[in-house]
Amino acid sequence: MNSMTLKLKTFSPGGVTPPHKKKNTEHKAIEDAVIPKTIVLPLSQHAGAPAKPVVEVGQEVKIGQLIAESAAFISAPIHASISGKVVAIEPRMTFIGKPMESIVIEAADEQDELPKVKRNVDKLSIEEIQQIVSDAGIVGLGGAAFPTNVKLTPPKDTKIDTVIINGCECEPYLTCDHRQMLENADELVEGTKLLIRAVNAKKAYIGVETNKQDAIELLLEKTKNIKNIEVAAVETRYPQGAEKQLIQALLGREVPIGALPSSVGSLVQNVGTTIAIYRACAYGMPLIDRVITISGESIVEPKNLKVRLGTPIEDLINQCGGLKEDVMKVVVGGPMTGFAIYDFSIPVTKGTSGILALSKNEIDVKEQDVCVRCGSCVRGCPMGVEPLFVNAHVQLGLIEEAVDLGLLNCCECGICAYVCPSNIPLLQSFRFGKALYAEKQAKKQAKPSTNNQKD
Amino acid sequence: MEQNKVFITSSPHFSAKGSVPEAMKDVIFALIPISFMSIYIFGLNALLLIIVSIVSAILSDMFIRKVLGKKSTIGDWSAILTGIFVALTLPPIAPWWVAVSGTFVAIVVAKELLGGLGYNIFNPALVGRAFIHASYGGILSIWLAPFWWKTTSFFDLAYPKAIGNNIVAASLQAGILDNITGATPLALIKPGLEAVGTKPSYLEMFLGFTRGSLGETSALALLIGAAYLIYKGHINLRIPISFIAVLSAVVMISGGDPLYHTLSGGVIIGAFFMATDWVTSPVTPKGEIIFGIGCGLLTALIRLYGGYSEGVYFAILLMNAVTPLIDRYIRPKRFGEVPA
Repeated sequence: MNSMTLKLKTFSPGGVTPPHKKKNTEHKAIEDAVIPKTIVLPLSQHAGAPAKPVVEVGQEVKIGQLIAESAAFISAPIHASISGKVVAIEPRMTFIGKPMESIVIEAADEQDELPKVKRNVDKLSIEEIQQIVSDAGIVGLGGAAFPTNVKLTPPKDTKIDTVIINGCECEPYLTCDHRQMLENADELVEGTKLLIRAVNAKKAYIGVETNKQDAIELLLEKTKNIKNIEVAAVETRYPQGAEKQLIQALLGREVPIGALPSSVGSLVQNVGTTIAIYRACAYGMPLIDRVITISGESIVEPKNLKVRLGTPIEDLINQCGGLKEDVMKVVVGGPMTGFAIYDFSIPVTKGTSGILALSKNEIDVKEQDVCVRCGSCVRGCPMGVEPLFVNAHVQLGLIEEAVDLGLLNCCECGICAYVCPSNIPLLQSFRFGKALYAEKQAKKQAKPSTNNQKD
Repeated sequence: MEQNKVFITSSPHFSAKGSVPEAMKDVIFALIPISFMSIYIFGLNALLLIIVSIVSAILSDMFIRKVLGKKSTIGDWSAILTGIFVALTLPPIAPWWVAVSGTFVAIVVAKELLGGLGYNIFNPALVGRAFIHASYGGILSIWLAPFWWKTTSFFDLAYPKAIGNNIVAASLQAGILDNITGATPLALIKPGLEAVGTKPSYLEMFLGFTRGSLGETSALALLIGAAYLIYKGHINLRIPISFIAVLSAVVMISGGDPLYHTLSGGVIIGAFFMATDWVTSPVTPKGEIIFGIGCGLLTALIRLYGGYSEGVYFAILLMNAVTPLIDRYIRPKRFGEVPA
């Protein structure tokens, strides 16, 4: 079947098409990363409450063992990704620049095999699937790290009719999802079937951007006899892989502001998450590793690596030949939404999708100029916010007005700052504005209403 | 491990190609065809006006930035661009000092005193031209014929032949220029005040072989430049098309010739280059269309019922004043906005 006959779908408004920069790693098969000597597992690698430790310093643990349990409905457990001894439970630096309580494990000389359980996936009930996913510590591997079991248990009055498997990987440089679609296609398809059953949906789409033709063709082949799974090629544009944009492109439904995808009857799961879900259900595997792309002009040997969670980034940099002299930034994630780091001892966590060593050339450093009202930011914004006006109000401290202009609707995709010809740090300004707003709200909550002072 | 020095910033960590100076340079490049055409059609004075305007704009910019205590912005190329635009609005007979005072007003008053690049409300070049119109009305009523210099020489600067302060009266009295000056295409069709003369053909107007300001003649040269700007992504067709469409519609309703109107005067340069100026036009697509409609409507009304034969420049200036209002009320739809 010719994949080009599928009609190309996309989202609107906004969007931008940056150079995709995937040539360095899109054809490189996933390699196993070297087992690290020490791993650092922050207790919060997911959205929601941090996990609570269930081990003590000095305790010996085996690979796959539960070391921290879920602390709330929106939370996730953590498992040891290597066999060894817990040497510390203390604050350690993370990629967001704040230290966080973490469990540090030193590797044992002899590593064990991860215990495997064989299950008949088709015989699992929906409740069992939800429990397995919860126990396995699976969270969204696309980057948001939202606890998956929460997504699989939508509110009682919402009905999900369509599952969407997100294979877009719209961020430049990253190819981990692309490689998983090529190398783990069978597990992906089985995971998709599982998800359809788990939420009682009618069908599933696997959304893949057109810059991954080989993955589209392979998946078309694998799903040709499956009536309720459709491979949908979508236009290669950023941020096509953003949940709400993908739902709009494939289903034509717009998730209302402040609502969840389940409110429009859809469930979106990243490719890596789907494979992890299948492995948890079929083999009893907890989430202890993930695929990461290490790329950028300033890394000697770009690769796609399967990495044990908690591996320090410097180990991976070394495995890829080290950094070149011209490195200017090291970014965890993609270039549009990732975090620049300076401390390479920080660990890989569940939400880490890539490590980029960017040279001065790639970053295209420009001097900041005045806003010339060109409108590029307005045309690029997928949320319908007018970045130039929001920024002007934030800079003047007029936060309420900035909120009226859409400050809180900003999804932090980074397009506005990317397209600005004057190189104005728009996204940074919005993050600052949002923080000011949160501070104001917190002050309001702390002070009860002073209207009744005269009483 | 010895660590390389790295930088920390907020995301995004790279940016699209392009900057404000580069965009300005692209517009200057797009104006090269019309500049060369105007020199070819009107002779050496056109070249002199363009050069003097550029130099005067640069010097005015440096002067006012120094006086205001701000750092120089010559590097952003916007002064040079304003200079070229002012020159293109001048009639070919204009003496060089008209170009100097026009660019001075454009840069110092319209741009820098209103806050500098990005903050000016009115298109600086058009304010400069409005000033010239108000101050040197006589200059703007002598229109040299295309290729008039072939009767004398390319190096002939027409205006020195006029003696004394009153250039118009003096030159007409001297009988020097009356056989090579005449009415513009728009003056020939001004309702109720039609000037005497033969109307140019559409082809002559398209190529630029007509009377008019330096930038009002060759539609072909201007469209080539506009096509380059569209290809580079600096302008889009919303304002030009809505401008010209509404102008044509109103002209047709009143029984006029829409093609004649579109090809004459400042419509092409106004619609594609002046009205599309980033700073002084709305930031949203819907806003741009409203802006273009307003420009087309006002141009038609001034040309058909107003006091002047040409209305493009005032139409754009008036719409510049309305731009903040358009931006206040025309907002893009928020993603996920549920209708109330």
